[in-house]
Amino acid sequence: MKDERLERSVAQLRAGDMKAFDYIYERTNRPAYFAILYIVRDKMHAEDILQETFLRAIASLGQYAAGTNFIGWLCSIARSLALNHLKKYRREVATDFDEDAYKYGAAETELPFIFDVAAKLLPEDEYEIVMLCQVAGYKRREVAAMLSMPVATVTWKNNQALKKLKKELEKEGRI
Amino acid sequence: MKSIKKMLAEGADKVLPDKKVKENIRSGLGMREEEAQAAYAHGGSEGIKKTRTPLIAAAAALIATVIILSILLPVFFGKKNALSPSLNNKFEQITDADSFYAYGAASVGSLLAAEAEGAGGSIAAKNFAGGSMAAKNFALPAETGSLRADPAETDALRALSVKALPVSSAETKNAAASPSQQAQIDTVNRYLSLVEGLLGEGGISETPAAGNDKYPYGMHISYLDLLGETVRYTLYYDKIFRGGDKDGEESEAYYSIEGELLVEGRTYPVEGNYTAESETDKDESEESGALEFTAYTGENSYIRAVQETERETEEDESGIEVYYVYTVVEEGKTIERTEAEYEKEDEEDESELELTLTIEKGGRRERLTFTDETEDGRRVLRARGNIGGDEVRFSVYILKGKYHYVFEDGSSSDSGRFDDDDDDDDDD
Repeated sequence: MKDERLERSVAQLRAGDMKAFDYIYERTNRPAYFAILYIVRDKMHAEDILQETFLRAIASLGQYAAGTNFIGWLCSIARSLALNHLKKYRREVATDFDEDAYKYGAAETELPFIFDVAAKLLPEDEYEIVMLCQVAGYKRREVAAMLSMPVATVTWKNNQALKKLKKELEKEGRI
Repeated sequence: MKSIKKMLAEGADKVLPDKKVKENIRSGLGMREEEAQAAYAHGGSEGIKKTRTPLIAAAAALIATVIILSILLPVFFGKKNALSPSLNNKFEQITDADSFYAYGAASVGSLLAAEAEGAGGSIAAKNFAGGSMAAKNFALPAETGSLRADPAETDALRALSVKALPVSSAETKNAAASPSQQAQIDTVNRYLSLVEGLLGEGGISETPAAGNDKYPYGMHISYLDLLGETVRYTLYYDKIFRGGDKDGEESEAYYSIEGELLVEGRTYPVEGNYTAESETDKDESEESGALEFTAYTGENSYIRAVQETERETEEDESGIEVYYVYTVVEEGKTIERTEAEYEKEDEEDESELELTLTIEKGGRRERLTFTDETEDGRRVLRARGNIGGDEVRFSVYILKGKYHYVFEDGSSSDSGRFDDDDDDDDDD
């Protein structure tokens, strides 16, 4: 399930062909973004970290083992930066505010309620899959290719996530 | 779960990253200066021109797509009966683990048989012209139940069905086609065989059998190929139910498999996954399924079939979207990849269908989009795409006993066609 075009683009970018960047970004920004958002739960911070992720990744492209899993590699950088951000943020902001940080100005942007629930409730893989399928609008086969998973697994996890969200929102009286 | 999906989709704008992130990264990579120079060169304002370029390209692509779809999505199946499901999709007949295993085995088995025979042409041609999985997959409603198609639609589908169309150009009678056009006709014939596979008729049957010394279950799978001959494979396997649930109007199931498939005296290790889900809510329903089935022909060699189907029905509208990919990998390298996308939408008095095929082999990529039209009362397939690096556009007239190709420059050629009286479309 290797994304051969992505690998080719990465090789081009590594060789200095900056034109390859556009395809790489379009192909990979969503998985990286949701990996970050899952951790920081704030759109503005997530965007900043996404930006930093790409700059760091491209600067250290030589460390990527060609032909392995570029999206996985990129997401690991994204997670690492997001966790660093969180550590820093927690040092600066009172822990009590974590849950509803946006209410106290500690977070920059309020996400719709269901997204907050999703980040709290779902394991990371289900969160990422449901966001890519239902929010970013990718087909399940595309998500399967991005995450190097069988399509059936993506379908299953997407359904599991939707069911959990439904149950939780019903419990909360939101639907 | 429709309400959840809707809530998530509606929140997308508030959640997805802003476009400025990409521009900031480009800027951080030093791509900005180049943009500014380009902007001045064209007399535009700095920093905007380059930003706009991809947007303009995207907009142009979008407009082109809209135009193409407008032109190439004619009414496919006549004028009525939009509500009745038009296809008895074999994929939807996968209702349990065993039918999934049979389906997967038949799919990949036919590919393996084709490979073993070493017949010429693409895997699609070998596979589908020989009568294989997709032919069984997209079966026309014969005797089965409630999904019987409207006769007009059936005729339209059968018009698309090439019925063991002779692939050999030796059987093709040239009228005025040039050699390059003849080559295109040969290629298109292969594609039409694939069309037949996707839209044709057939059925898979499975019979339980004893397992072998490695696997607890066994199954004989058989189907009729397009020439009416029975094809048989045997599958020994262990079925693994990974999960499933039924909650009111919603149901889902997730299976996987490990085993071995016997095709024409040879044994291949196999593995696969399958999920199915359905949801009914008042006037709306959704069904979807995803299947992946792999047969290994060597340590790093395999043939894999991936298929995904989504069907939605909502009040007066219904739609089905099917996606197939068949991949042949040898020693870790993709040798051939055949992709088919089939989309059909029914809305009140109108119906639209588009079938796009893409075959990648030997570094070449060929792509064709088929639609069906009626011209002066005659059934005609419009085809456009890229074959051998050339943009092509032509019409294929479905006539009794033959196909009549007409190219844009007015040249034409006839190609033999198996036909039977039942398939004639007299509606037009």
